[in-house]
Amino acid sequence: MFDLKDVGFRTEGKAAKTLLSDITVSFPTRAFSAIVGHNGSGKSTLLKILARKYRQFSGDIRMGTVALTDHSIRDFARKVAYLPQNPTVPPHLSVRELVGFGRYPWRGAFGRYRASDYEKIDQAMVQTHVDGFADRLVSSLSGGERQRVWLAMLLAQDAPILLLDEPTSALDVGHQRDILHLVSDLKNTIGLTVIAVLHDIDMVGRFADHILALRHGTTCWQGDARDFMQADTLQHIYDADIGVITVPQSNISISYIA
Amino acid sequence: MIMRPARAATIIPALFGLLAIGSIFVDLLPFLQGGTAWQALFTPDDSRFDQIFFHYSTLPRTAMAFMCGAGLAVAGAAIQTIFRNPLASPTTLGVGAGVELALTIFLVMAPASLAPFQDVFTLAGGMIALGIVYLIASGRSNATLWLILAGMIVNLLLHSATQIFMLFNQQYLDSIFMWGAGDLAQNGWDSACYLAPRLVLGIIAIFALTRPLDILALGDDTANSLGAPVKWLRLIILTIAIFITASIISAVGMIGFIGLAVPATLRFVGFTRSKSLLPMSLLVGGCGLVVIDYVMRQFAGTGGDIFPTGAATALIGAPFVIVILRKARIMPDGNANSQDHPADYNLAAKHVLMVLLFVGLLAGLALSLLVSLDGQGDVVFTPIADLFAFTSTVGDRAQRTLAAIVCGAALAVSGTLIQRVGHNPMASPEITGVSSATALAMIIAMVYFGIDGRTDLMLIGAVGGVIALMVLLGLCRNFSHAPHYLLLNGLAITAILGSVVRIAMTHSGTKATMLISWLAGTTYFTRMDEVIAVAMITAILTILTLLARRPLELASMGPDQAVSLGLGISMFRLAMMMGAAILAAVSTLLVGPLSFVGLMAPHLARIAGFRLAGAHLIGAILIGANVMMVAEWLARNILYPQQLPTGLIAALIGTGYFLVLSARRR
Repeated sequence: MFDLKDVGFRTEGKAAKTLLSDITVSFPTRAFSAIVGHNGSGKSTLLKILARKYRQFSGDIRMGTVALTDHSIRDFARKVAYLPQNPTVPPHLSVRELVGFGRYPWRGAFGRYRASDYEKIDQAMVQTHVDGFADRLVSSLSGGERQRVWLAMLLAQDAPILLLDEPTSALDVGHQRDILHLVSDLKNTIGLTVIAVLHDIDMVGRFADHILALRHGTTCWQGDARDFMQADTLQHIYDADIGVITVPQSNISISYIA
Repeated sequence: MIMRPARAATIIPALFGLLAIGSIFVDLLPFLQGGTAWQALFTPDDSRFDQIFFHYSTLPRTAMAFMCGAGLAVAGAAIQTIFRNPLASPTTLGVGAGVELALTIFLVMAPASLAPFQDVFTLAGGMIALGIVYLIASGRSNATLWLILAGMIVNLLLHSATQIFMLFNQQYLDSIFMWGAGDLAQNGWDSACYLAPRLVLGIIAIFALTRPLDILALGDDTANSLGAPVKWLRLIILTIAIFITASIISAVGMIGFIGLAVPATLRFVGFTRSKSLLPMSLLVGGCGLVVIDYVMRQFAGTGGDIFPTGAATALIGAPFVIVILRKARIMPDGNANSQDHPADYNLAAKHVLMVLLFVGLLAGLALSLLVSLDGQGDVVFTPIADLFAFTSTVGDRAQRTLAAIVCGAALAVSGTLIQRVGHNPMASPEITGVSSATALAMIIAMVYFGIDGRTDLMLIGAVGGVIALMVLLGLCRNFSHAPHYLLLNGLAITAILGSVVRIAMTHSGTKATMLISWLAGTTYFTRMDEVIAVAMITAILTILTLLARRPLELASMGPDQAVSLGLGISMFRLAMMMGAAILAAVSTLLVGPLSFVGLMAPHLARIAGFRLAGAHLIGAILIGANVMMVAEWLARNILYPQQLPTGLIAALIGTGYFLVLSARRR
């Protein structure tokens, strides 16, 4: 879906720093891609460039066949839904109202919401298990609950591409699994393209189809989950002593710190 | 960091020192050439005018400038260190305004026998003002910001109170104006001799407390565990700083921004410890004011008119502070998400409350037209028997009451837009300086270009307001999440307005009275056709914003999310801010720049539970209109037959509201 060629990014100002350079990668359509790497490796920056939050990148990015910058704002919002790492929580909105804003790209400032819009909103809340507190204020929820509410808003947005910046950082293991399972389910059933920045190695190995590893703003490794869950690959990416064992009678591998 | 600390740290004091010495040298040059320098300095020849002028005017004036600059800078350095707030200073925290009000009242009212107690009186004025500011700000999550905000509110309020007081004592007007503008002109050594011992005492006391000051800068908890009696130390040091400020204001009037800019700049270039900050503040503050005063004296020579130095420092200082603080980024991150909102809203729509507010507005309107006080506290109903008198009385009252209501609504919409789009619960047309800029444009047009037509003035004011808002947005473009930059710029614009008004007053003569009462927000001069015009504009813009309530709601999620959901936020924000500026401008013409309804009404509406943009707008309009209506009735009747300005009464209500709010939080 996204084809990047020699993408680089520098911050502006007097103390300019190169955050990304020479990234050449193709994120496959209808697949779950994960961006991994150590802290400060440029993962979030790359995702923000794909979400058009940073516009001064160098190189060439195509979304499908069209250059990334050639979409109108509304058009882009209908195609790409983006969840930032720390979204601003409006203090006065209820869960249902916030999720309802997912329909904004389709209805705009003045268009009436139709029955189908309300269906999509309800469906998104059920899928993310937030329907139980639909009429509470978002600001009164816990971090994990908020994360699911935001995801519900993205689902209501009904965009074929999801960009998620650490969507499970505040969740316990059970909810992490639920969310990633849901996202990967949607990928399989309705053909979503998902690109997520993830930290948990095992979750990446379990759910991702394609993995891009960054280090110091350059491509360090890319490949599929099976190759990713190898001790030497992980040691190379994270620069730490990591071992991998395979669970008997399954194709699941788990990592451990040696 | 743009400047390398070490180099800038030596250059700045050296530069100001050299410039100051240079300016004195230039003054002294004619005498040096004549070989009479010594004579002119110490024993002037009575038959030589230039020597007399030098000895009894130039020299004491330079000495005064040095003392005032040094004193204010040291006081500012101490206050900034104590509050750990780079925007704190004698003028920004309301101390100056408090002293000014106390002194004005004292000079006009107090019998001569009380004269020895003048110091006590002004000190109390400053302390009370600072106390109010502290009370409003303390206990809030974003104390740095609230301190400055509260300072601005109290400042404007006390300042307008001073002006009202002068309004009723017009015989003193001119001299108080010149004094209030920080006029350093001297005709002898009396003032210098009055000021010198007080300043020396105060400055020595502060220097002696250098180490406690540094301990206080570590924060209350650390200071306490180091064994420092935090409360007492803070009180003592603040008292001394206020004493210095009060003495200076008693002698020459308000001199803005020295106490803010000098210590903030010095801290920025690397003087972080009090041990070096205090003496450097003394040096740079003193020399800086000598230089500014020297420049102002050259203007006085050519223009013939007197251009007060204190007003000029605000003109120079305000933009300077914006620049230096933007570069320094020493403000802590303002977080719009912090808990200045009630955590639990009642989700139910507030239809009942809305209806009640509307009924209250209608009932109040009727009462306001028919009922008045007669000056002895007795209620008087307008007699219906004499139909002609009845209609003319009611008609006369109607245009003023309607003006107030319409302005309340316009300011409420303006404030709601700025708060929501600016993503900042503390912004408002008054705080961000849009109202001030409007007034500024109008005053300049009125005094310097002689434009009198109120329609022309309204247009000019609107243009001024829009320009100010554009500049503001330009300055804050990269800091859309940072409320303090908006406030900072508002502070600067308000300060510039203050000084321009003072300068204009000294030029305008007869127009002064009208200008003051207009600035304080009187509805007395309002005409019905203006009210109708403003009402039309307000109605149209209100309907437009109500239609755009969905993107307005979306904007509260921040620019990133808004764009992700397909809203072109920058264009939208521009349009909304334009609307806000126009509304602020038209209402400023009717009630002046400082009613605080634009801050208060949206705030109250949100606390009352009007959550979503549409309800918030309507709720704010109803509350704003109600508040202004009450204020207008009070202004007309409290001191009947004296007419108070509506804007001032509304501002009093607003300040009271914030005080109650802060008291309830405890």
